[in-house]
Amino acid sequence: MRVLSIRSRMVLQPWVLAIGSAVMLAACLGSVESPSPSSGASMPGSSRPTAGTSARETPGLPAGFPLMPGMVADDPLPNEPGLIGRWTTESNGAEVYAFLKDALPAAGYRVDLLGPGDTVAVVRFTPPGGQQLQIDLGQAGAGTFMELRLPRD
Amino acid sequence: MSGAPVRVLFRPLATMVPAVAFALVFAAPARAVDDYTLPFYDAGVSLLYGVDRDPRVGVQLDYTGKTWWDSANHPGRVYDNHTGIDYPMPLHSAVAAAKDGVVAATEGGYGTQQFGQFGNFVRVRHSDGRQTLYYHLASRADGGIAVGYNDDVAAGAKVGESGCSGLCYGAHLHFEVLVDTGTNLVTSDPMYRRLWTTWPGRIPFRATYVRENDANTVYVRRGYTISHWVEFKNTGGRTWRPGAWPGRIVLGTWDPASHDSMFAAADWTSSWLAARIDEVTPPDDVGRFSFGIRGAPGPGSYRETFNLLAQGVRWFDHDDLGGFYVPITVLNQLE
Repeated sequence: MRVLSIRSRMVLQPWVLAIGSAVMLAACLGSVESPSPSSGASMPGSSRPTAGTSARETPGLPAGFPLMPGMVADDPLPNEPGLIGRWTTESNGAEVYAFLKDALPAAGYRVDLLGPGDTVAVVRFTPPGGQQLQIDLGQAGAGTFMELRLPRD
Repeated sequence: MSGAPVRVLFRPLATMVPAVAFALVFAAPARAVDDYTLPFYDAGVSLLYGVDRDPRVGVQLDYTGKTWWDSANHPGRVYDNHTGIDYPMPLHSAVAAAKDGVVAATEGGYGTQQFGQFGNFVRVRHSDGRQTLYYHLASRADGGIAVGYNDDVAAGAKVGESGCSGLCYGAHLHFEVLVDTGTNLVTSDPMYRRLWTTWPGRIPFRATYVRENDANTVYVRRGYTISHWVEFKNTGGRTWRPGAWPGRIVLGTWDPASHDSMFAAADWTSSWLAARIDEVTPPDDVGRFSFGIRGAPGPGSYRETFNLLAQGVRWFDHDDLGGFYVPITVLNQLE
């Protein structure tokens, strides 16, 4: 079950709007910095998630999973067995693949398979103490989609 | 003509059919006729995605006959609407012609890792009506294109280096077999068609050491010549032939390649070329190289290192041969 989006929660509980506004104002002033699970210092390029794509919004996402800047999470998530998260970006597939190739090991994950193709790619990795997961890349219009899922044949 | 075949001609058809069928099924397989080999030299490279033999979107049929009713990626098998075989490999890995042919087209003007609709390639036309395409190569300026239009290329000869030009998510070779129908080129699946000389496909030239007549130190008196032979198993995909050119398999000096040998005997072809393969050696057979060792230098202990060479194409991987060398002790004539 996909968690409720921030927007829908705000609609349901208007008092959150006020608190949210205050937090946003503070953030703009630089007095508040949200911790990001994917802001590994050694990661090549900034892998800090952009607003609305926080890794914490995706249940089942391994700790420290590096999201490439510019990734936008699908909402709602397609109801598909084994699918943990789905994102799209305007970056091309080569850029996303190159990012993952460097960022996954830098995040402490063991990379089990790097599989680049023409308009697809698959990456399998295992987080420390976790189970193996699979990333599928493919074309989404002029950009790229990224799916995180349990491995499949 | 002997009588037996004539008698067969007069047998009733009904009795001949089972005989013919038996012969077809149980006859010893014909000796390997060289066909296609894997289009690279690194034996560690393997298929990641093969050809999707079903043109429908959302239906995938791989070379084994397995069908997926989806558009998901299936590593090791296929992805939707894929027209070739993807072999991941590092940038600038050597790419080899899968069969003898003539270069039909090249493109090398795109950047080695320039993402876009079009990329660098070499396309080779073969005598069987097929063409092979080597795609996503590095740029010509970056050494990605090793051949020119209308060049003859031997099976196993380097045609370029891998890159990631065109629609390419990471460095790999997209290898495609096309059938020339006269009006257009139609994709064919070399895995399903089993076009390889061996099954599964192998890199063109590879060997392992088997034995030699004396694997210990060879003793030879100064000024004399002794006979020596060594055997290697053909673990590559091409037949070793003593007379073919290019691609004749010879034993030459190594480390450095083709150096003048102090031990070259009268039967050597040149100062570095010790021997040709003795006879035609298909894949999986063992081939012998016979050559003399002459005790030319002064008394002492030496070693001479050898490697196999497909002449005009490329040297073998010397490590696969176990780093083959011959320890030689030259004795004084009077000893």
